[in-house]
Amino acid sequence: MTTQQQLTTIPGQTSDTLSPRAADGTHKPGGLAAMNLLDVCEVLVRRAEKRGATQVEVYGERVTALSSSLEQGLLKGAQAAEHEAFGLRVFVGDKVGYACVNRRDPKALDEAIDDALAIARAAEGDVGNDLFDPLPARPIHGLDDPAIRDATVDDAVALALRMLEAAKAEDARASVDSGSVGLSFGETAIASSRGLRVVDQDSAVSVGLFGMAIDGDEVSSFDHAADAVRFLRDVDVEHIGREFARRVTALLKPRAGKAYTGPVLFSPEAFEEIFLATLLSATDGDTVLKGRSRLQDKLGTRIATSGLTLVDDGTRAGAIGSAAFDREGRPHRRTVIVGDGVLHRFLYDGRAARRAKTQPTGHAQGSARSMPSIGTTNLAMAPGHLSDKALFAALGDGLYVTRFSGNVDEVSGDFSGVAKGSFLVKRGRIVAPVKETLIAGNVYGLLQRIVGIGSAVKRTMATEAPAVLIDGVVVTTG
Amino acid sequence: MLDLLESALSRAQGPWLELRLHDRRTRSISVENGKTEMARTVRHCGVGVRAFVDGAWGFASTSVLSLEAIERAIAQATAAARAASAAKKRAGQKPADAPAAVAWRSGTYFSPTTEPLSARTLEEKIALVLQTEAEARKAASVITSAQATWSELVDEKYIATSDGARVHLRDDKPELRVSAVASRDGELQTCMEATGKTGGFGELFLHKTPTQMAMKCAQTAMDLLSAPFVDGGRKQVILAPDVVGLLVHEAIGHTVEADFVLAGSAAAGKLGQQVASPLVTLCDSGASEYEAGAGGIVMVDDEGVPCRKVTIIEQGVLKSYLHNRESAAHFGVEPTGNARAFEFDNEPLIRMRNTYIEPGASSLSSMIEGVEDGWLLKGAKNGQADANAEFMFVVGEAWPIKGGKLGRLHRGTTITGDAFDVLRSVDAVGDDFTWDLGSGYCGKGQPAKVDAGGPHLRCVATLASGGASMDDGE
Repeated sequence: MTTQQQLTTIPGQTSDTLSPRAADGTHKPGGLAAMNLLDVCEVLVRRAEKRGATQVEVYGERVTALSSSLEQGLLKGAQAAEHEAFGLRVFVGDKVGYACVNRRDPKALDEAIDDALAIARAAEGDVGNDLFDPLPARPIHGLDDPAIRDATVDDAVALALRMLEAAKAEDARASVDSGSVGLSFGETAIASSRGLRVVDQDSAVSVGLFGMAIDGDEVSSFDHAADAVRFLRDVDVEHIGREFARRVTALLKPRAGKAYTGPVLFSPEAFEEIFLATLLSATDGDTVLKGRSRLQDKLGTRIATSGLTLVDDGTRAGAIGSAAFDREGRPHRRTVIVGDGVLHRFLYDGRAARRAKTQPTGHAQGSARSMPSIGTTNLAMAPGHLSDKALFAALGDGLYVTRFSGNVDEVSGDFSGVAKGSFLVKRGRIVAPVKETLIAGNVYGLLQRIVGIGSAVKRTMATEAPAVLIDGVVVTTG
Repeated sequence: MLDLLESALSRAQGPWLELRLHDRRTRSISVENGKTEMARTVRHCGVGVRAFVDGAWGFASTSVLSLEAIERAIAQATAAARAASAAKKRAGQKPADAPAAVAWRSGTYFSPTTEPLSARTLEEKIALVLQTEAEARKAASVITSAQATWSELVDEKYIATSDGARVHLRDDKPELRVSAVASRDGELQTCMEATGKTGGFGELFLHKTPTQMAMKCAQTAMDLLSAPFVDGGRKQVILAPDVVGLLVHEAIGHTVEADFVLAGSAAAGKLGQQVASPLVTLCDSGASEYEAGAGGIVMVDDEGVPCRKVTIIEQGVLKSYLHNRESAAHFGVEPTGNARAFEFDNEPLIRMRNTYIEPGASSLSSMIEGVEDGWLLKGAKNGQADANAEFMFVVGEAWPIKGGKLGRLHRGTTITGDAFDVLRSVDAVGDDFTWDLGSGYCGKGQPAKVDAGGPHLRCVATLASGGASMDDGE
């Protein structure tokens, strides 16, 4: 655990000049190149203030990554990457400009400050363009694995080969089009003219396989398996390999689906992609303020069948979506978004909160490349009471959807698309995968027609959800 | 800058190396409901290094433009390739094919443009976005929200390889999007108009002015409020050029990328076979054929290979795949200039550029007159390809055709089918041509600017039926 957080005033060793020589003319050994990430952010804040900014926030990120790639069922190669970038949010009164630069040299950094200032001066003013005073950060345990810092490219290559071999051993018909294993550790720092000064480190292992099954002349639909965790010891590449092989081979020999309007069982991944993503877009405080949310007047009212509870929690120890602070340096917290079908709250970053005359909820997200936006951390939908067997029995005859390839209109909630990786179910049992089968409906209408929620929760990256049975879905076939 | 890369190459001993210095300046301006929501510049500059050692690839990158930093990246890429090569040998895997030989055409390549983007000031671009958004928002009282976004990629690249490439490239790719939300009785509908080109304002607004784009999206969003849902199923359809673009890009283009072919895509083993109607000739080109300013113009690819026009399907017969240097060596053909990397810290992958169907002889009115019961589909949104050639794409507008006559607007829908079945079903190809897929990006692990288009096309595909409304559950 190497988290270090400082919310104190600026230490004296920082320089307010971008040149290797300090303002007093004394030589600073190493200059910017030798400074830590937070101090570079601090220097940029002071520099932008001197050039005319009334408020400044600088977000710095640095990532060191080792990875190995697979292609066409073979090891393709290995990669080493070091990335650093600074995102400058510069205010002139109630106007804002933004610039990002991926280099430390004084000329490029000065140019970024001037770009951001030029944009701010040319832009329209807005009440949302104002920073908040900092809040104390809360350290989160288990986000940084020393074993990843010590890893070599050979470790990434070995993991990739083990994942590939596990897929082949599970079923020789599984064909890996591409895959990768990435080991990364990163540092994030933010400084602002309001006295914010935070820094944190974390690590991640991300693994994934993408491809299809090939059996003689038959090629299945694409599918994938992937995961991301904080600690090297927690990654199970053999499990990912086996899951990939099982998923793609299950799609061989598809048959025509059946057209009907009625119940459809959605896997956790499919429910998340169609329903949760749309719901989250409509609870984004910015979307609400702009009149693009179907839920804008629904706070405190029922928006889904009772039993649907959705919680975001960026403070969970060791979780992939956790961090000591958000993109604006504010601590994350546990937030109930929907409780037993009732809409509890909208999510805000600083700008949306200023506009809505409320407080930020710790949901600012994004990289150095863009201004903060609103997003969740670790999202969890509460499990229901039905076992998988009971869910399939309740479906009876119908469609089980595990992947969706289509479009959800986030404004209206209308969706339509191909039910990929989907199966025909008869008398509660999977009979065969389907092809050329489309599903359509309206997210908001169908959330009121949930007839069953699974008791088993599956985590996909930073989201946990159960399988969900919904009535009233339109199924079309070719 | 080529001197810097050449110095680094001359000091490196042994492996095959490719150095690519890419300096990208991105600018975007987004206005929503009269407010500047986001205005930013991003400078992303550095050198990507690829090494090929004993049948395996290594990659590393640096954002520091010094000889020492580039030499360190060369050492990292070489070490990574060696580690991968040793692991491949231990696992008993065959080595990758060494990059195919190339007839180099060294020199400076600037993409064609009416004027460079730098000729327009920041203030001019902000004013354009503010005005376009305001025009969409004020078009009608039911328009409750509008958004307009300008974005531009300004690229300068230098590519040098240890086997002879020496290239300097410049390229501007601007884009303007405008969308409107119409609202009535709790119902919300949205529509977006977008243009994305290679070049300047002249190319970007070749077909519609920003004002015309704003009016079109506001009108369509408004019309969609009272538009019925599509009654789906297998139907005869006429695809507008933007939807033809999605079809050729998603449904065919991805299956003929040689890396997908080697993994076993539906196009594998079909060279020389009749895979489409004899009316169909389908190409991918780094240049802007038929009409200026295609959004995927690439003059030299990111392996330093001059881009060639590839005839993928000629009169219905599959003729060629899309190649990088490695796949060209594998198939024993010349590289086609399809290796593309989004930024300096991405490895080049096989990607499309400008993909299209060549114009035919039918007028749109005669194509509509020939449809007894079908749909005219416009407004390409997103799409996806699949290994088995089953595709899906989303269209924003569906217009019914009954007895050869066009009916009233219906809501958008999703189309699916087997790509090659759909191309075999083509019975009319329009005499028009438009590039219309240049805004946004194609995703394949990393983004790429591409374009696609063609004439109107008549074929058979499966449409999704419309969904239940929100009121169904209340």
